[in-house]
Amino acid sequence: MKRFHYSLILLSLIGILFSSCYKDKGNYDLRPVDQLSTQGPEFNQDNFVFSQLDSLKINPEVTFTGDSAHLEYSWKLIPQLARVGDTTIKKISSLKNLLYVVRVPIGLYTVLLEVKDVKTDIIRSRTYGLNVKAKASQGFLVLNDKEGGVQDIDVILDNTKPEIFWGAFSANNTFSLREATGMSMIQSAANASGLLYVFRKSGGYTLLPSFGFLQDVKAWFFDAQSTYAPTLIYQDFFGANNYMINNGNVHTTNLITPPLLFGYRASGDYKATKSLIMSTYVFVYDDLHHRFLKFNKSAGKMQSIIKNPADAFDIEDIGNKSCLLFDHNMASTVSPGAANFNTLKPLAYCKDNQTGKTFVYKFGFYRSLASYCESVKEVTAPGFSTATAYVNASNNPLTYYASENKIYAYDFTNDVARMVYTFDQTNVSIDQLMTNGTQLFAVVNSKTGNSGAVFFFKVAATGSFTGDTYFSKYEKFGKITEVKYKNNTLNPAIPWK
Amino acid sequence: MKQTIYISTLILLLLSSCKKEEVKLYDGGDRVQFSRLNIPNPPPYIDSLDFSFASKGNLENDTLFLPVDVTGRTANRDREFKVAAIPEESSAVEGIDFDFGKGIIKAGQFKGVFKLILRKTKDLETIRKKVSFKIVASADFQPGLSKQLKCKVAFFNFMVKPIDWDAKMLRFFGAYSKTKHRFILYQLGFPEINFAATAALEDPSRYIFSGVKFANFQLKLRSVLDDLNAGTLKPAADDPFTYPLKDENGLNVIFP
Repeated sequence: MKRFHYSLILLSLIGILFSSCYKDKGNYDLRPVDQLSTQGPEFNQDNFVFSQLDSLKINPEVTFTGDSAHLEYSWKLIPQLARVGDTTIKKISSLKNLLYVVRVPIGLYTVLLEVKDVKTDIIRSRTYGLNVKAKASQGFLVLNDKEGGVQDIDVILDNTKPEIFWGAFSANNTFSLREATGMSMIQSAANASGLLYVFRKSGGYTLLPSFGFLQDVKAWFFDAQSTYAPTLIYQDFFGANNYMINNGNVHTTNLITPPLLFGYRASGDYKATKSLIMSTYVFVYDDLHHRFLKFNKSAGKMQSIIKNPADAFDIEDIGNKSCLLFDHNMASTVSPGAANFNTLKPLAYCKDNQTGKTFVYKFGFYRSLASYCESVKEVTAPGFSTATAYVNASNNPLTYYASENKIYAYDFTNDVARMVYTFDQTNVSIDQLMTNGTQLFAVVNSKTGNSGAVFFFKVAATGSFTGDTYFSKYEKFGKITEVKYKNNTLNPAIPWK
Repeated sequence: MKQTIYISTLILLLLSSCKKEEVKLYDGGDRVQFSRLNIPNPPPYIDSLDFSFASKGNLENDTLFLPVDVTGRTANRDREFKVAAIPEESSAVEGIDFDFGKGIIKAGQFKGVFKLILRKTKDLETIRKKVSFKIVASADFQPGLSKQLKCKVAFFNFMVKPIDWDAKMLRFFGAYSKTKHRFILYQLGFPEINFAATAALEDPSRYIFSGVKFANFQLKLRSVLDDLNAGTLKPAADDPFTYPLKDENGLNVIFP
C-alpha cells in the first residue's frame, strides 16, 4: 500500500513537470517593428584627430525601415576620464549630421551618437574617438578684456592669415582670468616646449603650453613672499640663467629643471623697475635710489656697477628720475661678448620727475666686458617724454616710440626722430610696440571703449615701414593688456622684444 | 524510531548554537602612557629628547608638550594623571630648572598632553641638564605600557655641531661656529637642522632636508644676513643677535 502511495506521488510530480512543456498560445498579435541600425567605423581613439577650433563633421550611417521623422538624435562629447553624471559631458547637437566647432581642452574624448525611435523608445548608439590637439601652440598671444570683467588670451595664429583662436585660456581652464597684467613665455634647451607665465596684479599662474593651469604664483618661490606682484621672468637659451622680478625684488634659481623654483630675494636696498638681462648680465634701474645696479648671481646680491674714470655720468646717482625703457639695440637674446662689445649698446631712457625732461643713458663695454657709462644726452624728440610705448630696434640704432596715434623712429645717436606711421583713428592709445628686427607690431586700444587691435608692419632696412603701412591687422579684441609671441618649441630665430 | 532520535538530537544540537554569548568588558582599569610617534608604522617609543634654548631667541622658558594616550575607557569628566621626577637619574631640580604642568585627559578623550616647563638658567650656557620622570598612579589612572612610562629630557643653551656639518653642510653654510648655527636655526625657525642622506629620506617634519633645500636655505641666509649687516633690514623684536654679526671668536659670520 505504501509503495502504491509513493508511486502515486511520483507520477503526480512527473505530470506537473511535464505540464510546463505545454505551449502557451497567447492572445496577442505580433506586428513587425521598424528596424533601426547605425553603421560606420569601429571605435578608435583616433577616429578623428582635430585641433581646437577645428570643425568636427560626422554624417552617420543610419538605416531605419520606418518614418525617419520619428527619429531623435543626440550627440554627446565625453572626456576620457569622465564618469556618469559629470558636468564635463556636453550635449553638442540634436541634428542627424554633426557639425561642431571643437572648443574643449586638449585631450581624448568619445563622441556618442544616440538615435532613438520615439514610437518604440528603441535606442541605437555608436561611438567615435576624438583626439583634440592644441590649436595655438604657436602665435601671438593677445591678453585682452572681455565682457563681465574677465580677461582671456586669444591667439593670432599666423600674422599673414586672418584666423584667430579665440579664448585659448577659457577653453582650457575652468576658472576665469582676472587682473592679469602681463605674460612671459619661457622656453629653453632645458624645456623646449616651455611654460607660459601669466602675471597678475597680486599673483600669477603658470600655464602649460596648451594653456591649461599648472601652478599658482606661490609655487614659483621657495620662500613665501609678503607680496606677489611679478613683473618679469627671464630664462636664457640653455636655461642656466633664470631671473624673476617680484615686487621690485630680484630672484634667481638653483636648478634649471622646470617648473622653475625661485629662491630668496637678492640682498640689497633697492627696488628694481626696468631691467636689462643678458644671460649672466643683469642690470636693473633702482627706483629707490635712482641708480643702476648689477646682480651678482654667485654672491646672491645686488651690487654697485664699478665706476670708471671715463664714465660720462654717475651710475650711483642719476637724480630723481624714472626709467622709461632699459634695453639694448640688438636682439633680446644677445649678450655681451668679444664679437659685439663695440656694437652692443645698452640704453636707458630716464625721465626727470621734476622737469619732465628725458635723457638717454648709454652704456658700453671694454674688451674685458666691464661696463662703463659711455654717454648721457637729453632727448628732444617730440612727444618722447610722454610716449605710451617704446621699443629698441633689434638691428639698427633706432628706438621706436608711440605718441598719440603716431609711431616715430628715434635715432638716438643724432637725437633725431621721424614719424613712420599715423593711424586713422585719433581717439586711441598705442600701448605696446614689439619688434623682431624685420617686423614690428603695435597694440592700439580705444581710449573710451573696450576695444583693441594689433597692427603688423614690415621694417625696411632704413627702419621705416615697408609701403608706409601695415601688412595685417587684427581687430575685435577687448582692451589689450599685452601681446607676446609664443613658439611651439625652442626656436633660435630672432625673438620678439 | 532510531531515525527520529537521530534527527531530534541533530536539531537540538543546531539550536544550541543559537545561545547568546556574553561579551566580557575590559576590566583592567584605565591606564595612561607616553605616546609613540603619531605616524604610520611608528618606530618603538623613544624616551629621550634634547632641547636647546640656543635657537629660541630671548625666550626665558619654554614648554614641551609630550603626548600621552589612554588604555581603557573614556569618561564624562576631566581626569588627572600624574608624573613624578626620578631624582637619581636627574641633574635638574624641580622648581629651579623645570616645572611639571598638570596632566589632564579631557572628558571623552583618549589622548592628552603632559607639559614640561623648562627654565633657561645661566648654568645651561655651559652644562647640559637632564630631567628624568615617569608616569605614576593617580586616582584616575594606573601606569600603562611599561615600556612607555619613562621620559628623559636633556636641555641646554648652547649649540652642538651637527655631525653632518663638515661632510654635507659645509658647502652651503661655510665654516662652523656656534653663532652661525644659532643664526641659521633662528632665521629658519627650526629647533635643529639635519642633512638627508638621500632625497628620498628627506623629512621636513623632523627637520631633515635634501641638498636642494639646503641650497635655498643658503640663498636666504646669505641674503638676510647681508641686509641685516647693512641695516637694510631691521632685526625682529626677538632677534637675539647684534649686527654686523660676529661669531664667538670675533670673526664675521659669512655664508659662501
